[in-house]
Amino acid sequence: MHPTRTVNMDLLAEIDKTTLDEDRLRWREDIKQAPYKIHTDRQKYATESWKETVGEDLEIRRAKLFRKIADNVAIDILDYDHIVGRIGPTIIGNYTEIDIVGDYLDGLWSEEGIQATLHDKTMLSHEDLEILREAVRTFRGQNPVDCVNEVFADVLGDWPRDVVTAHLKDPDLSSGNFGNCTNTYDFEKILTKGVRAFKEEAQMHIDEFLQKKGQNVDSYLFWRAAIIVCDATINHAHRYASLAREKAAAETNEARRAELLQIADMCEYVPENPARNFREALQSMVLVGLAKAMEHPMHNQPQWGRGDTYLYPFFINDINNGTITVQEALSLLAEVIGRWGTQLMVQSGLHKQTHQITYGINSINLGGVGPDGVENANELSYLFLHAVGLLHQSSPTVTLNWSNATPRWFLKKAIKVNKMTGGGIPLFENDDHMVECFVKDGVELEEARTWIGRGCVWPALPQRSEYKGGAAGFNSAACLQLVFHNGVDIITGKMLGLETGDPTKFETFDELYDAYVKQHYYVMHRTLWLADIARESQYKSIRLPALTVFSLQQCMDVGRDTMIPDPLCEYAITDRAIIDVADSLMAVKKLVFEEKKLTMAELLGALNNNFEGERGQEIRRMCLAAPKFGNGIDEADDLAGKIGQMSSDSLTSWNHDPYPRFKSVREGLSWHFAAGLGVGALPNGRLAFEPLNDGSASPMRGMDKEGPTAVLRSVLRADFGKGSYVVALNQKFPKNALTTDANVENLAAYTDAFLRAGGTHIQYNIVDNKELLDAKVNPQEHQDLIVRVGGFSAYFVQLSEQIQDDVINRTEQHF
Amino acid sequence: MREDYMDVTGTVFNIQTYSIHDGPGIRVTVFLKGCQLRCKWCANPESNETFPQLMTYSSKCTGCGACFSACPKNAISLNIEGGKGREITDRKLCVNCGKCIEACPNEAREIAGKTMTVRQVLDKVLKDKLFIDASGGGMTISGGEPLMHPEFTACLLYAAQEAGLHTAIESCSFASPGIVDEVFKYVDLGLLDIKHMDSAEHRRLTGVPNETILANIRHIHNDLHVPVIIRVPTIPGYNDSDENIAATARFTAEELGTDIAVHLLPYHRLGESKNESLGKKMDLSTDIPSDEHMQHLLSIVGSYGLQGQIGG
Repeated sequence: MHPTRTVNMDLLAEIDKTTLDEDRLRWREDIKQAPYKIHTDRQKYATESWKETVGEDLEIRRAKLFRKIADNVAIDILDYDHIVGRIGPTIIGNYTEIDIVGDYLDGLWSEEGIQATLHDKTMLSHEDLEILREAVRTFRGQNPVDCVNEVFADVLGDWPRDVVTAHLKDPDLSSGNFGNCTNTYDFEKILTKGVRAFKEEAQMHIDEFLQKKGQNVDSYLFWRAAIIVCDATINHAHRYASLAREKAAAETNEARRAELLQIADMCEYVPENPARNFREALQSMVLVGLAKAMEHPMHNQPQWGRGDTYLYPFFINDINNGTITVQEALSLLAEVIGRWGTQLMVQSGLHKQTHQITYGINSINLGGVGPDGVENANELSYLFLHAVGLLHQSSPTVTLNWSNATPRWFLKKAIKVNKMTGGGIPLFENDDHMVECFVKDGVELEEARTWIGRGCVWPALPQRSEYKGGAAGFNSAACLQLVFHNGVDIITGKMLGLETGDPTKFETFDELYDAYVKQHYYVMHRTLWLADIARESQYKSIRLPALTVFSLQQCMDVGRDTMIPDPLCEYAITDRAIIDVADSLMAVKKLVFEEKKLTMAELLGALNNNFEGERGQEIRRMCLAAPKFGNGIDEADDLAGKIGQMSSDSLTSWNHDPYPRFKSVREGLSWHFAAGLGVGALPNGRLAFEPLNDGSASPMRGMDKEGPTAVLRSVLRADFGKGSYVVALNQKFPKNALTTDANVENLAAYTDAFLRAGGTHIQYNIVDNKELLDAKVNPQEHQDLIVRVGGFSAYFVQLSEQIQDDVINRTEQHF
Repeated sequence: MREDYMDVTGTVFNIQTYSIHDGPGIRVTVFLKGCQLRCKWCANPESNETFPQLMTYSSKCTGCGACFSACPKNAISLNIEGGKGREITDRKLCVNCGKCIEACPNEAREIAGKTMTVRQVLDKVLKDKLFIDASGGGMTISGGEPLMHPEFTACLLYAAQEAGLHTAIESCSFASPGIVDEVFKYVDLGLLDIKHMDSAEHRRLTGVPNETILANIRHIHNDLHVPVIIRVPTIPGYNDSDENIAATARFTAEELGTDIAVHLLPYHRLGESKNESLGKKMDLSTDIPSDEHMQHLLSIVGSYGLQGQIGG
């Protein structure tokens, strides 16, 4: 057992009594009505800067582009802001990123087309459209997505594009979603040293370079860029300070005027200097965090990572000194989390199909074991949980890092917050397991203990670059389909896989299994190769100096941008749909090879006809009746475990020295919906083009009939953690399972027992189906209903009808 | 305990995991089939008879006719209403053979009840030991009425205790004293129902008088020293009068002690759809009690110095 921190239990009781203040409630009402504004001014200044800097070094160009944006984008302070800074001047909004992703906004070239792409509350003027189109023209062929696709086509022809069409892999690359876009910033350094320290560090390196007559000019240029982005970030904060002073001068309300002057003083001081208290710390985080949105808008803010660690000294000192009340601390934290979680993300059509979210994916980790080996759950962790419970937002993703020493008070609060929010907040990840995985992969224990979730449940080391490139999602079910068609994909009609033989000629189950393994390895290795090609191509057209400076000390030390290939990086891929494949293979094993109720030809015929006709229906019933994962049936669970391990092996066996091995991260997202569009009927009984299984360890929808504990036993039996960092499991519980304190205690014990026994991840939906069905018909009355879709939350009423049905159909556990 | 206790059989109609309303912690609840009482509000009517029974679910039925063709006794007919077909099973002709269940593509039919040995049941219960141990849970035997199967119940309780599990039993306490003595030897917690304090009313509502029941409850707690919780299924218009709840509380406080918890279980409608599934109609006119009413009854319980609770 890890040692734990001493916690002031009276403070926890006091936190329980705090509520959202008037300003927050008013803000929350406003945000429900607010239009989603796409602020095109970032794009306008990016284009202007790009034109002004033709011929300059790429690193300097990107730094100047950042400076142009930071110096000029519109800003505002709304009358309930106590901490200032948001993306654009309106209550919800975001920037586009054509300079990074190219022509990604589907329908940009016609007025009707673009409205169809965007959220229905989003409006773009004709002038806005012209700005965006000019950006496309300017950055065409000069953005990383275009450049990478060109190299892909050169090396592998149509294959990279075709596998996306076939849904064999998800289209992350086409949306510029490279790994680094979900980096955190080094907030501990930002808060304790101030941005000034980063600038001084860069200046020191430059001085040394000049003095020693250095050879590495690229490093010198990086440090030059670092100074530009530091200055721009400080100046951006000073713009808020000036605005606050202007507003104070015009303010008639005495109290508000004092607040505005306090804001002005703060923004003049932080983030340039170290924060002196909790309020300044939060203000500093928000303002530096905006650098992320201005430089690379995808996912808006940097991940918050271990917020309850680096903010703790500021919080507890203020509380102990009596300079802040618990209610004030809650109000400030809720303001920042609230704003941070309601930032719109402008996505391409393809990316939206995969992720189905409107908000940027941001994540915070609470508790867990720190580098000193102590379980960190503290009073601030508790305040964070309390705040997200009151806020009831789908974003950010909140992860409770479970360790073998997670205190029961913390776990119980987490279950209560799940009940308050409808579930998924927080989700639970096995911190001990994650650390063990990193260490097994050669990371020092101390660094392993700094891991954070990126986006949803993607574990990452904050001090490493990540190039997941085009390899973010791999569809095992589509690979199985390739086996059934001897390598030919049914969507494109092209040979995208390997010729593994005529499936009707297989005489034993082992032959079929071997063919599947070959197919899986073939597509997997090509997919991973794409990620490598992307790493080697994308940095030639993109640099992210602000992200590098504010997140990666080792890059600052040597003067290298995060986009430049670096062996000290991280690689991960989500190898998904393992359960779909396992249940399908199990059905074939039983029906064709063991019980011989069907011939392979008959089964494949039924699949091709989507089980139509009387005989087809009969075959489907047989398929559905075959043993399924998630019911505590050893044979089915063992096959799922075997396929999971095979898949993990397929990616760790990809050798791309000196880069580290790929790690398996089986998060869910709502990817199962898009992935299903590439997969016809399956032998597990699933109909053609329906969603695949959600999560990654979740049983087939409606097929877990032995209750929630059987699902957990199956997951443990399959031992997915052996080959994967995380395998997402969603479980839905009705509200009545949490009515009493004893019920809360029970679910806490259940969660703890599962993770202690080796589970990697679990999250809950606390809803009843009646509510969901009603929400489908009357979305207006259920605007705040959150459901979990795979690894992160979404508002139920914003989901597509199919996904809504999918959530409704997921077996509700009865008691 | 007999040597072959693991091989004794009983009719089980459900083994429910993650049970959190039938005793402390996360439990596995084993439901036995068969009951001497016929409470008008019974929530588990499929547990009344000791033999396996066919159940049908009209909401899942699409009227496809597969069961109609499969039935060897011609017990099933189809009723087309509003363009949607519904099966109708003639219970007098049905022999519970289960052929229609195999044929049904929509899982709209099932047989309730299965003969199992103590070993089979225990194996299933112990699979959840991880969660039972972590939460301070155990195994609960419910029904139906476990005391209808004293041999099986005693053997299963004994086996569970031997395996280190906390045992609970949900019972109406209607049995001969010899049976009570034999079974409660292996019980760690008794969840005992009192349906009405007036014996004539009790007989009218459940089919049996309450003298034996009350005597057994006293005996279980006072002589056998088994910890008990008194549970009152609260059925508006039948046993929810202030007088009856007060009498129940008085009995508990005076005859058992004020340290005994009383759980008021509000009526729910689950039994109604189950009756429909069994082709039966419920002879009950009541409604779900309001929260205010339950709170009021709870305050009556509290006025006797007892720890009350709404729900299990």
